Amino acid sequence: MELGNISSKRLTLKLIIYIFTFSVFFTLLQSGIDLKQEYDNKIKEINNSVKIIEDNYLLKLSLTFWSMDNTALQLELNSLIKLPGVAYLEVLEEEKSYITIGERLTHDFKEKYLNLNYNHMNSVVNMGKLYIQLSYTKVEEDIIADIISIIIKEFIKYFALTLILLFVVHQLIMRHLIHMAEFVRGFQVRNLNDPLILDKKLNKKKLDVIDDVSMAINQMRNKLLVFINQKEEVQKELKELNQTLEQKVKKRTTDLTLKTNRITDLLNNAAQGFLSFEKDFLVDDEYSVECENLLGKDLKGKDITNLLFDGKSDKIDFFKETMIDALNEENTLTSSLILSLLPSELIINKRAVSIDYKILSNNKFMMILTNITDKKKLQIKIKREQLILKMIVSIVSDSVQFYETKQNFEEFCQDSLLYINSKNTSAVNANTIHALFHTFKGLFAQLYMRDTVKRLHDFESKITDFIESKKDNNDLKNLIDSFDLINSMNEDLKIVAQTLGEKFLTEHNHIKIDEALINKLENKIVLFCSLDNKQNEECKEILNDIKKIKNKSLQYYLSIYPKLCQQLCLSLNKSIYPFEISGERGFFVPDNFKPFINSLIHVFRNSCDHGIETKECRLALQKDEIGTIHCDFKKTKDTLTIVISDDGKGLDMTSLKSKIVRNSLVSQEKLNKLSTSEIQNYIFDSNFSTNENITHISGRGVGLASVKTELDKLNGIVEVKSEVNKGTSFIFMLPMKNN
Amino acid sequence: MLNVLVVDDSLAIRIKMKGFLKKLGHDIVREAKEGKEAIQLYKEYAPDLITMDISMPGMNGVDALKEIMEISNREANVIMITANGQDGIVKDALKLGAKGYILKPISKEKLQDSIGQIFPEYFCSDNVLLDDNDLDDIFV
Repeated sequence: MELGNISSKRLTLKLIIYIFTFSVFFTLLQSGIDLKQEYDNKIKEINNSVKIIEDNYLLKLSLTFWSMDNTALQLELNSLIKLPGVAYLEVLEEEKSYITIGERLTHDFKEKYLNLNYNHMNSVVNMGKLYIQLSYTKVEEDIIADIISIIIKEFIKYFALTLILLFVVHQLIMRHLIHMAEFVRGFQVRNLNDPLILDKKLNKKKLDVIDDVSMAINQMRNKLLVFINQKEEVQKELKELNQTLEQKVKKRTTDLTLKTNRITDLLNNAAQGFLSFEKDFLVDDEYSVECENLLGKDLKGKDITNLLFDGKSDKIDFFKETMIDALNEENTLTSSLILSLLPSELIINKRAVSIDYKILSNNKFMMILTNITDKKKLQIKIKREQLILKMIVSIVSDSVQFYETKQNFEEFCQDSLLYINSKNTSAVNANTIHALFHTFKGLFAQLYMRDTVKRLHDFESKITDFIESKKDNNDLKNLIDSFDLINSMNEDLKIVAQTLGEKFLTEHNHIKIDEALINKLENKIVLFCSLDNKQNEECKEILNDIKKIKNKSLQYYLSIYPKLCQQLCLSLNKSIYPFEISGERGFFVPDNFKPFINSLIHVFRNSCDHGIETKECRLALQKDEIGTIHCDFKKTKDTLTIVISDDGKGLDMTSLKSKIVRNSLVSQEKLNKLSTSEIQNYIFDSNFSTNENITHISGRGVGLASVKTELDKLNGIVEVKSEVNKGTSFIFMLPMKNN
Repeated sequence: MLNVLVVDDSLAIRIKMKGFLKKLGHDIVREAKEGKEAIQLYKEYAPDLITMDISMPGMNGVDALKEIMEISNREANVIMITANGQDGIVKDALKLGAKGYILKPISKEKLQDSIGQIFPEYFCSDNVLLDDNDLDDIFV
């Protein structure tokens, strides 16, 4: 109601403003035009007064003035002043006022002078002037009065008109509209049955717009009524349907929850981590329990890459790129191949985890994590066991070598400091010890004593560092002391003792005989022999046996090398034909030959490592895929010749020469003068190695140098014969006379 | 039996590869030492399969792959031969359309697996063409 009143008042106000504005505008326009016309007429009339004076009265006035009839002049002027606009008249006789009429104006006037002439006997006599003042003030006043009266009249007229109009509008339209507004506002689904009835007579033949609108509203109401009835029916149906549906959904949900629970249970108990994530690499809400075991608690929303790679940015970048690439790839084969570039096994939180990657149909990634730590541990354990077994087998099958190496090493440990000769520089001493370490390392490697080899390798490295640091002999002593040499074998020996029993280490299969005792025995027999010639033959036999106790055959010493070469080549992914040492079986070498024969390991290693090529290489060179190494010895009258040869790549003279110069062993000039064999001999120089890569087998450059050292002790010589891609032969010649 | 083009700068690898392929019952059409040669041979012989080394002097494997893929409208079957630490390059090659990759050192088994992924009929070790029922048995 309130709103209806206010809005209708607002409409009334608008109506008044419109009517007023337009009527005032048009009235002002019309009255303005009228007034302008009136004003112009009056001005014209005033101006006309002068003309009337000039045309009609001037001559008469001149005559009167001529006759000096003042009364008549006064009368005439009196009649003139009644003319419209004339306010003041003055007759001037030679610039002097002769007669005046009216009041002289000081402002707001227009003046005019007219000459008073008299025609006397055909000549014009100027008698004076008539001064006229014209005033427009009255005209303006009249006009203003007119304007005021027009405004008042028009206002009254339009105000009345507006009121009437308003009444009519209200009666015909406004009140109906307000009524309709109220009806529609009170429109509710509940009272749709009450129709809209207007406060006016309804003449069916003369319907106006308002009737039309009200009828339209009633029609709408009726339609709505029908619609609502229909809707109610539909709703009823829907409600029934809903109820059945709800029951169904309830049942299905229970089923689904059961199924989901079963699957979750299955996944949780699968001991595998299942998790999924999207392109943002944040772990989804759903993941199996094992994921938390492997990756940590509360994975939801965490960055999977950080969990897997612990913030290593290069790996994370590759991981993300590859994942996205695989996702974007349409070809499933390519996609799975790209996924295969991702790490399949990772160490996460000290656990080995195998990872499977899948791309799900909804553009999600899925990862299946499996804890394979135990499997890995087992694998490592098996590998370690295998290595231990290998060591045990080689120790047992070669027990003589083992005891000897062990004993030699123990002796070396006790005497190690004696190798530091104060007469020599620390570098020379260090090199000597280094070569010894190297030899022992090689011997232990043959027996697969991995821990010992590793320790010796470390010592070697430390001595190499020492040589470079240029410290003195005392420092070298301290360094050697710090090594705790005697215990280097402990780890391996412990295993041997565990496997084979303590006895194996303590009780040798051999009876140890003091060397001095044998010498004494030998001397005694020689003495006996010289005393009794008849017994000569027998004596020789006994002497031979004693020799056998004292010395072992060369064949025996060298027989370890073929096996060693096989193993070496296997570890280098090369292969050689099995070979045997050929030479006189019963040839015995004296004790002082032993260090040299032990040092020959470096020559064999050299052949395996640098000589024999890989299978591919050999195939490419159209050589037999399997390499050959030979070793034979021959005893002539006073010389022992040992030949070790291979059919490998031979010595590369160019790299040999450049290496010699690079290591400044000899100048370029001098080198050019040297013969091939002289150059080849440089491979026996210490700190020389043609192979750039230092391997665990050879390559430190001390190996062949230590052979040379031992050879020199026996006054032997060595000759190298080498042909590129054909092979290399080392020919050692040792004099036997003095030995 | 597939016609194979072997592309590798190393003679040793080529010999090895040829050996494996022969053992697997395939036929070597030609061999190339670098990319340009490989493209030329591909145009001439259109082999069923190419094994392509990634790093070669001259044109490298990925560039050659790119060109061969263009020529063949991505139809060519190329297996990339890669070394460790070339994952990024391998990924590029796969995106370019390579159908597989083999990590060195190569072996008969790796080669067989890779070929089997492209030609499922060669999945079985003894090269006997299988019919669909047999395949089902294997995959069940």
